[in-house]
Order: sequence, then structure tokens, then C-alpha cells
Amino acid sequence: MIIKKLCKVVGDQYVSESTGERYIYSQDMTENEPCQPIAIVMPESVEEIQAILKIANETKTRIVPFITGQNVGGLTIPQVEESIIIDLKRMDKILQVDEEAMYALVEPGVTFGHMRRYLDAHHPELRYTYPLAPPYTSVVANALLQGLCDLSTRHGAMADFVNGLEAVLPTGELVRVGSGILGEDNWFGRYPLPDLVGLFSGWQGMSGIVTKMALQLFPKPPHIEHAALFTFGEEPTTEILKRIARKQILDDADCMSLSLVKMLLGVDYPVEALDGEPDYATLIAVSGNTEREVLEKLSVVEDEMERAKSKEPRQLLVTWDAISKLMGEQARSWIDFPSDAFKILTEFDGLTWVGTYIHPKAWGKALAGGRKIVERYEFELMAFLKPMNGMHFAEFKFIIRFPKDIENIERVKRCNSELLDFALDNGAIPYKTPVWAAKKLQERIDPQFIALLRRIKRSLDPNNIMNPGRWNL
Amino acid sequence: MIVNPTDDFIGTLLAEVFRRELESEKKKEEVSKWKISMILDTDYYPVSIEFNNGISIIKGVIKDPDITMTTSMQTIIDITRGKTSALRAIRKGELRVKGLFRHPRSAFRLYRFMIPALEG
Amino acid sequence: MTKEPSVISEWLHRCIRCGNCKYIFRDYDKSCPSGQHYRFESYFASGKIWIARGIESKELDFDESLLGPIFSCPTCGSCEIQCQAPHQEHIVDIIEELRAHAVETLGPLPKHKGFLEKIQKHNNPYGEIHHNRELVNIHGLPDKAENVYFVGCTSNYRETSIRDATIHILKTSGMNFTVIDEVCCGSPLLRTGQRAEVKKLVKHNLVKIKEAGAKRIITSCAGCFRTIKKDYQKFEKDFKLEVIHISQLLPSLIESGRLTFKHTKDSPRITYHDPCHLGRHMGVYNEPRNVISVLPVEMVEMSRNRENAWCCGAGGGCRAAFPEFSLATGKVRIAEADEIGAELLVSTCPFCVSQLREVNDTDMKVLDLTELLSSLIR
Repeated sequence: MIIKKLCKVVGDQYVSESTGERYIYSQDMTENEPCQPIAIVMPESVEEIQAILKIANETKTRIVPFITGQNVGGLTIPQVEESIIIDLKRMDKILQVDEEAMYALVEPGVTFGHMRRYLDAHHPELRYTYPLAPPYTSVVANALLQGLCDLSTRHGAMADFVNGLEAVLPTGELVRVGSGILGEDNWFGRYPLPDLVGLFSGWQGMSGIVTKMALQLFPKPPHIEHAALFTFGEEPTTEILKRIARKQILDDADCMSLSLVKMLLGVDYPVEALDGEPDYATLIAVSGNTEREVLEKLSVVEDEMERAKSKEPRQLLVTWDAISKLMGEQARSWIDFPSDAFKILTEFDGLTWVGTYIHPKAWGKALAGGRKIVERYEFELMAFLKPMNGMHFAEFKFIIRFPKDIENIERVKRCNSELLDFALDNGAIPYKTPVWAAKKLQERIDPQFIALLRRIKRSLDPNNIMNPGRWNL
Repeated sequence: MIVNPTDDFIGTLLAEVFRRELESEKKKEEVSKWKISMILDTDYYPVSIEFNNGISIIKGVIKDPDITMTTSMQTIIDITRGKTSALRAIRKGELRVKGLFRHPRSAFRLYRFMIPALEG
Repeated sequence: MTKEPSVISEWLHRCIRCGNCKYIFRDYDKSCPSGQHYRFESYFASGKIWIARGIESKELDFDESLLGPIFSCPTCGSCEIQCQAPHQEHIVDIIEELRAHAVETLGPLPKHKGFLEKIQKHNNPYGEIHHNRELVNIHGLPDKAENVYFVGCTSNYRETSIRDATIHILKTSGMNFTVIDEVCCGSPLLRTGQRAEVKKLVKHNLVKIKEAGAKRIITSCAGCFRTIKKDYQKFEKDFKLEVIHISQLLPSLIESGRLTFKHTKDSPRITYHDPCHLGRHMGVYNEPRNVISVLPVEMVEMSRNRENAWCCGAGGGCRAAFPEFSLATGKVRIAEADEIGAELLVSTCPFCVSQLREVNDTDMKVLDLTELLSSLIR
């Protein structure tokens, strides 16, 4: 019955109950349990989404939003039977770019690749910011999931770039938050208003469907330089990172296990950490309006590295001119975002991580403790740590790439569970949180926070149709 | 002409540099005739390089190399960046070469092959 | 067919569904005709790979609803260019193996079954009366020759001017060639999962080529070229004959002065459509362009060209079984050529030419390179 109604809204060709579709949309690359939806519907307009949610609300049908499914958290897998997935990839328009206030108003199906292509063609003075992910991840989803990007060390999580949004509530009403409430062409920011972006940001599709989002763009700096730090030891590495990040001169800093660099260099799976090799490589980016400004910033980094060398002479700063000479053309593709470097994550059909945001005091401990756990489970060492928003916190994770068979899935589950327990012990908050991780988090956090979440959820979604079960609510 | 894959950091870097250098047919022909063994001993760890109808790089030391170069990764990077030259590094003791007098021809060949490769 | 190892099981745990197969690598323009038309995940290469994975791991059983995603793909191979994962070179093989499994389980699609029946009855998938050998008499060709021109069914029974133009070119340039009593090369069956009958076709063609004493096979069809050069060795391990596409022969004929061209007053604006079976499947991109570069024309490239060329939509059995999708895909290509102001859209495959002519609603002319050349020969 509901299928017929959905067909009437979007047309028969955009509703599928096929075996293949239900199988594919039931799972992602992670170890999270699959669950088949009963159908997938693919709207093209705000009106169609409103109509779908009204039908769903009347019939108490569960709805799970999907765009490209690249969240690495099982977040588009239904948590309850009889769900319908609403695939938003047909809503892929960049509606407006405001050169002066520097924002783009986009639909949820717009991906990072398309954003890059569009800006390069039409607004070459502006840039958006990109995660170390396949280019075909949704810009809106990444912002809503508070993800990170290649300007996060300077500006913070992607949710901080949201100027406002338009969303269809579970009951079908269309709402706007941010300065766009005063009319079109006015999406310059979120303040001074009650900040209702928070009703959608981090909610994993439980509070409505975002149909438009205004996102900050940034001036493309005329001069950008990159460098890599090769460092030994968890505490020394994070000390160097903190010292440099506190200078507030970096656009970006990605500290990763050296194994990740070796993967980029073409070392075959399984990549091992060998004695004598540096433990970590950190890619840093600095930019400026003049070459001099950039060189001055780099010299600040060099000074910090000199200081570090006095304790451990092997700590090494390598500027990008040297890396380009050593590595040739491919080096360029690693730093030109959306970066080709994501391809090291596509070795197998399985990929997962326990991603967290974490206090600076725990960085060294987190890298060292996590390493021990991963080594015990005999996975490759793929730690990643990015100082965020100046130096206020970091994104921290251990990535695991694995053949997605039963044996590996079980091993991954055990490893991730231990990694999360360890991260929580260190005050880290998991992000893009799968349900199993939300459960563990909820055992430890202030219960009033959960109560508040439930209250908000109930008031927005009285019939609990939007992505029920997510975040263990 | 094959540069054998290796799984360590320095070896992988060198393999990449060598592969690019051997894109020149002339150089490939020349190098394929060499029979030279060497150790590059860095402050990170040593790697051994054998030229013998191809180039094989392994982590660790081989017995009785023709040439042993001892240096730091910082010096290698400085040479790559043009902040110093191989000759200057040798003069300052930052790059030491053993086997120069017993295998002068091999040392000269290696110098002519590796230094331009690093300097780009 | 000699038993091949299963490409599906070999690459079972590789595709992460990162989406790179959906768009042009580093350019972010659309690359997958099937996915772009139908939009659901199963219609992109990654979706098909995951269906294959589901079937192989027995998490999924074949049913009728799987046939659309599995078969409505022209196997253009753009996904193989864009994918950056370890299985990148095997995606088309995975799809074709999945199709073969589907045919074994559920039987071929009715339209595809028609290919088989017509080939069994008439030796060509068009159901036309088999007449290839008559060309020997019509054109005064020898019984034996160094080269065999493998005409291909589309040139022989539909786009006959391509066949005639090719023969004109070969004769004018003094090539020692003949044609054989050829039957369908097997491409329409291989591309649609109907592998069983192909061995017979391969054997027949190879016997006839041997009888003609030929050392080399020349094709004017990109599909025949791909099939004979790439697939025949899977059926006949000893198959070692040289196989070339006419576009690969032409540069030497022109350079040696065996082909010369008229001077014309006008230099029409021309663009080149890379057939998937010649370009992505076989890596032939430059030769046709080199030929065009010596003609009295102004060459302009479409925005998606060479390995990123947008498919005409005809291949993989799509034109017969999924005409709406197939024609819509071809129209996109026509629009792309029209957008750059091309007066001539030239390709090197009779099936592409046929398709593009079918959907062309502009003033632009669609020609095969052989037709263009033949018209310009002095």
C-alpha cells in the first residue's frame, strides 16, 4: 500500500523493492550488522520529500536517509525491520554561490567532487574543504555528521561551517534555521539566533531530512606549501604536534602511522611497521597571501622541529619540494584535495574505524594504547590524529581495512570494541557513532543528556519514524 | 630492468627514485650491466642495494658490500633539497663512503647514478 | 570454452563501494551510463559487483528483479578506468560472469535469446540471409590472401556502407585481402552471458581464416576486434593470428602514400567518438585521431573523450533489451558533440555509428571513419 503511494509521489521508476537493491542498501563497508529495507525511494524535490514524510508519518513507516553511504559507521543501515530508505542522490544541485559572503547553498546529493568541479569552473577564487575520503561523499552528510576536512586544523569540524539549513520535519513541515529565515540570498550565518542547526547536526538523520544547506566557502589562498614530519614515539610526536598547532599557523595537519605512507608508496598488504622506521608521518599544510608569509610560517615549523631534534635527532621535517623530487608526480595527487590518497582505503570490501574527538592531554596515550590493541589483533597499524580548530581537540582513530568475511568481521568487532573502551577511558567522544558504540557511550555519560535527546526527538518526531534505533535512542 | 619491490620505508623511497631514473633507456642499459653491492647505512636503519641485472633493495645489511655509505636521513633530504651537495656532505663528514679505494669504479658509478636521482 | 577461474570469487572481497566508478576520476563528471539513467545503487558498477558478491556468498538468490541491474549496462568499461581499487581491471569480466550465471539460472533475456536463435539459424544476430562469401565475387577478391577482412554482422547487414567503404579503402591501397565465409564473431552472445554457443562460432571462423591462408585479420568493427583479439584466445589457446582494427592499419597506408586524399574547399568541424570496444577495452585512442589529423577537417574534442568517453549506449545487449535507456544514453553523446559545434561526428564502430545515427536529431552528420575516408580518397 505504502509502495503505491510512494510511486505516486516520485514515479514508479524511482521506487525499488528489488532483491538487489534491498541487499545493497542493507549494508556498508563496516562490520555493522546488515538489515534489509523493504524499499528504496528516490525523490527529486523538497515537495516530494514532504509528501513522503507525510505518508510515512501517517502510516508510521520508518524512514532512513541515504546519500552515498560513505560514512564508515553503518549509519545508513536500518536499525529496525520494515524501514524504507530514502536515497537523496537525485537532489544534487548547487543552488547558489555567494562570492561576497562566501557560502554555497547546496542540496544533499552534492558531493565533494562535484563541489570541487563546480567551484573550479565558476568560482576559481573560492574553495571548499575536503575530507580524506572518496570524492563521492556527500557534502551535506559530512557536515551533519560533524566530519573533518583539510581545513579542520584551522577551522574545526565541518559542522562549524554550516551557516544554516532547510529541513523537512518528520511530520512533513518545511523549516529553515540560520539567517536564511529572512529570505533567499541571505544565508550568511547562524547567529545571532537560537542555534537550531543543532537540531539536525550530529543527529544522524533522526530529526528530519535536510534539503538545503548553506556552507561556508573559503578564499583560495594564492600560496600553499606542504611538508611532512617523520617522527618517532607517541609522546614526542604529539608534543611536536601540539607545539606546532598552538602556533595557529597551520591549515591542516594529518598525523598518521607510517604504514599509511607506505601504503601510498605502494607497499603491498599487509603493511608492517618495521624496526628503525619512523612511527608517524604528519602532513602539514600552510597557506598565505604572499610567498613570504608562507615561508615565515614554515620557518616557525622548522624551529619547532629543530627543538625536537635536540631530544631525538632522527625527527625530520621534509618540505614538499624534496618529497616531489623523491616521489615524482604522484606526490601532487596526495595533497590536491579531494586527494587520491583515499585509494589506500579501498584495498578490500571492508573498512572500519573507531573515530573519536579527544582532549589534547590524551593524544600520546591514545596513540600508544590504541597501537597496542591493534597490534594484538594483528591488524595493520593505521592510526590517524588531526589537531582540530587551532588546537582545542583532535580527531583520533585507528582505521582497519579488511576482507569482509565472517572471521574478519568478528575479529574487527572485538578490536573495535576494545579500542572504543580505551578511547572512552581517555575521555574521547566517538563520532559518526554506530549503535553499538552509542550504547557504550551512553553507559558512561550524563543521563540527563540522553533524557534531553529523547525529549527533543519525541517533540520533533512523535511517531518515531525518522531512523529509529539510531544512537540507541 | 626490474627494481624489486621492498616493504620498508627507505627501500620503497629508493625504489621509486630508481624506477624514475631508469625511465631513461640509456641509463637502464648502462645500469643493467652493473654488478655492484652496497649498503646505505642511515640513522634510521641500513638498507642493502644490489645491482645485478636489475636492482634489489632489502632492509638490513648484506655481507661484503663493495661500497658502504653512511649518512643521516637529514643529509639525504638536504641533498635532495639542494641545501648541500654530496661532495660537501662528504667533506663535512655527513656522508662517509667506505670501499672507495677498493672499488673506485663502482663508487663512481653509484655516485653518478644516485646523486642526480636524489637531486632531481 | 576452457574452464576459466572465477573472476567473481577471485575479487570477492575487494569492492568497498567507494563510488569512484560512478564519475570520472579527478574530473568528477558523470561516467556510468547505467547508473546515471536508473540512479539506484545496483545499476552502478559497484552495485553489480555487490550483487555478484551476494550471489557468490549465497546471501542472495537470483530472481527476476536482479536482471535489470545485471543486464542494463553496456559494459562500456568506464568504471574500470575510474576505479582505483585492486580489482579495477576486472569489473567488466565480473559483470559478464555474473550475466553468465544469471543465464544459467534463469535463462537469457528474451531479446538476447533472439540473438542466439538468429545466429543459430542465420549465422548473424540480425536474422538476415547469410551472404558474406558473395563479396568475393562482387569485388573480385582472391580465395586466399595474407589478410582477411572480417566484415562483422552490423557492417554486413545494417551499416553496409561501412563494409563497402572499408573494401574500397583496402582495394585502393592495394592490400592483399579477402573475406571468408564468416559467421558472427560471438560478441553479442559473450556480452549477454550466453557463452555456450560461442565455441562453435570461434571454431568456424578460425577454420575459415586458416583455409584462406591469412596471417592477419582486419576488422572494421570495434566489437569484432575486441572479441577476436581478446576473447578468442580463451576458446583457442593456440590462437596467435595478428588482429588489427582498420583504424590501426590506416596510418601506415597514408604514410606510405598508398592512400591520398582530395583537396576540399571546406574544412568541416569534426569530432571523434571513441567506441568502448576499441578505446577502453583495447586501448586504441591515437590511431583514429592521427588519421583524422591528416584530413581536410577541423578536429575538436568532446569534453569526455578517450578513456573517459561517454558510451553510445548500444553495447552489452542494451540496445535490444533496454531500448529506452540505450537511446537516452546515445542522445547524451549526440548532445555533447552538438554542444561543441561539430558538423561531423565520426566513429570507428558500425554499432556506435548505427546507434548514434538512430538518436541523432541534429543537423550533424554521423559517419564511420572508413566512410569519411572513402569519400575523400583521390
